[in-house]
Order: sequence, then C-alpha cells, then structure tokens
Amino acid sequence: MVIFMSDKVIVTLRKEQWEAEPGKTARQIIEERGLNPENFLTMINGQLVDDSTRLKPGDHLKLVAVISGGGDAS
Amino acid sequence: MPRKCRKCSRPAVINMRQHKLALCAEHYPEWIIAQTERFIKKYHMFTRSDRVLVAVSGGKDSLALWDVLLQLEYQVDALYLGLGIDGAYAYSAESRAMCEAFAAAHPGTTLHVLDIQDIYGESIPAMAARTRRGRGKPCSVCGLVKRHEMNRIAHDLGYNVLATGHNLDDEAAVLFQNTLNWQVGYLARQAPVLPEGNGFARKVKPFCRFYERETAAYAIVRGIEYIYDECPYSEGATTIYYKELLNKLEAEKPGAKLHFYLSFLKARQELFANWKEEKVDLHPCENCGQPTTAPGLCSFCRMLPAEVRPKVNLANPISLQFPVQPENSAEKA
Ligand code: SF4
Ligand SMILES: [Zn+2]
Ligand SMILES: [Zn+2]
Repeated sequence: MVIFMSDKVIVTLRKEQWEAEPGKTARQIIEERGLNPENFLTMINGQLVDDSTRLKPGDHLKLVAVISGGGDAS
Repeated sequence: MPRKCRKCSRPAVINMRQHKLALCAEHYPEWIIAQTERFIKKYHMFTRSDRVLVAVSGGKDSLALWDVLLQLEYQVDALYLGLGIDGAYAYSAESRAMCEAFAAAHPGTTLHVLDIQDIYGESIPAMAARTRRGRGKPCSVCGLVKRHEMNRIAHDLGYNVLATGHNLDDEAAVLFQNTLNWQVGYLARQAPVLPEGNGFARKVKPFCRFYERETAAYAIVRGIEYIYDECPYSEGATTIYYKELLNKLEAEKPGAKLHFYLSFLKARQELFANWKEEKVDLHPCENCGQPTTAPGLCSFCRMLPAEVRPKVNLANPISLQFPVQPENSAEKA
C-alpha cells in the first residue's frame, strides 16, 4: 500500500483506506464512518493509542478490528 | 489532550470504560497479568502444581493467554491442532506459523503440534464434505474433532488442565444465544471452570472476564504476532452477529456486557444449585474409551473410517466415572 504525505488523516481498516479531517479524535472518526468504536482498537503511526487521541495532519490511523468468531476461540 | 494512565500519567494505550480505567503501555500488561491471576484464584482454576495445556489457534486470545500464564510462571505448554483449512489465505499454515514463532521465542515451554490430516488422512473440510454432520459448514465436525483430540492429547500427555482463550465477548455471545433459545442444559454448564472427570482434564477459561479488545490490546502491546484473518468458515457466524449486537449495547451503556455475564454467573448458582444433569447413559467408546451416549462408538470414531480410528490407550485408559462432560456441552461451535 502506498501512503502519500497529506494534510489529511489517512485511515485504514483491513484493505480499505479513506481520508479524514485532522483535529478529530479517533473515536469520532470511527463513528463518522458509521462504525462502532467498541469493535476496534486504534493505532496512530504504528502506536496503540486510546481512542480519545486527536489526529494531526499526515497521521495514519489504523483501525484494528477485534471481533473474532466462528466456531472456536481455542 | 489524550487520556492519561491512571498510574503514571503517561499517555494511555487503552481506556476501559466499564472500569473507568485508562492505562499506559507499561501498566496495561501488568494489570492484565494481575487480573488473570486474580480470576484463576477466584474461580479455583488451577495452581502452580497443575500441568496446564493451552489450546492455541494462532489468534490473539490463545497466544495472549499462553504468554500471560508463562509470565505468571505456571507449568504451561500449548497444543496446536492443524485443521487443514485453506481459504484465500492459507489460514491453517499461517496460524500454525504464528504459534511456532511464539514457541521459538519462549524456550521454556513446549508447543505440541498435531495435524489432523497426518493422523487421520483427511483435513477438516474433507471430513465435513464426506459426512452428514458436515453438510453445509464444517464447524460442527471441526468442533467435534477439536473436543475429542484436546481431551485425548491432554490425557495421553498427562496434562490435568485444559485452558482456552475464551474472552468475555465469547462468553456473553454464547450466553445471549443460549438465553434467546432458553437452552437450559447449556446454561447450566456454562462456567469459567468445568471440573475434571472420567480421565478428562479440567477445562478452564482464565480470560473469561476480559473484553475482546482488551486481549487484542495485550497482544499488540506485548508485540505478540497473531493471525488477524479469520478462519474462512467463520464468515457470517452467529457468534459474530451476537457480539456486534452486544457491542451496540456496550457503546451506549459501558459495562453492559460485563454486567450481563457476571450477573448470570451469580444467578447461575441459585438457579442451578439443585440442577441435575439429565440422566443419560454413558459408556466408554468401544474404540477410544472416551465416554459417549451412543452405543458402541463415539461420534468422533463413528465419523472416521475404521483403519484410522485412534486406538484406546490400554496402558492408561480413560477411567470411567459418571456423570461426565457430555459431548455436546455448550461451545461456540
Ligand atoms: S470457524 Fe468453523 S471451521 Fe473454522 S476453525 Fe472455527 S469451528 Fe473450525
Ligand atoms: Zn502508566
Ligand atoms: Zn471413540
């Protein structure tokens, strides 16, 4: 994946990628996308952060989906 | 300003709204480890003289559990069952590689790897395709094989405790499903600990009070590589649907999931104090010795062609005392 320098925030979730406005919290960005913050952890520029953290221009926000399921948790 | 760690005021890596607790990258894993120890003691799961076998899948929960139990210096090894599941992304091969990488980095512990196809000549999807039980989806066959083989290996290798990485979201989703259907028998048996019996190991779930995002956060903070992709057959699983429903509730009412599960555990003691397992006749499987309700062979052995059925270990047979954990006790499968 190629990520260009930008004055926006780059958000990735699995293979999806989109842009968001800086100045918002990670939680707000998740909610704006219609997603539930309870289903994700948030990493900014490779570091795990609490989702109240605000994004700066050029930041990369990675959403880590945490729900697993199917038949087993072994 | 990002939220700060309650203990040291560095930036928090996670905020647990249900506990009103935010912690940093140093204090968070410490907290998880201490809480796990607390749950192990509270539910009388095991002690440092027990031999514990963790069932690992390469996922976040089971690898995190293995890591925490090692940090706590329990006698712990792990079992990986190779299911032979390959979707678009070689699920089994990758998940096995994750477990092997973890084992290689932790020389004080052993990873037992058991490949179903090597032993029984067929992968799980192949077994499912051949049998009525597997029609449509291999999960039922997969669950049966995993239960049987985990019991067998723990017994044959002398582990008296089998630990799985079930987290609170797993438990709450199963509870929700069993409640919607009023599955009284399953509800009676859903517990952090299932006692040993019949030569079966005790079954324990030391992570049953952690949210799923907490076990994932632990794995990330500790630098544990886990398989992020799901088993291809898990898509559309009802467990995932119920987890998402419960998380909607959780988003509006922090702590709702935790409360649902913990109040069930409390109610369970009252509701089922005098509850007796339906009287079922159990006998040892003629072939492998594991208890079964069916006459003759257990459902696992019945599913296999005669020449590959596992033989009963006559030097150390599974002793038979009743009642036991029936084959169909509530699981996520
Ligand atoms: S999703 Fe189904 S087939 Fe895949 S590992 Fe779980 S139980 Fe087995
Ligand atoms: Zn701290
Ligand atoms: Zn059998």
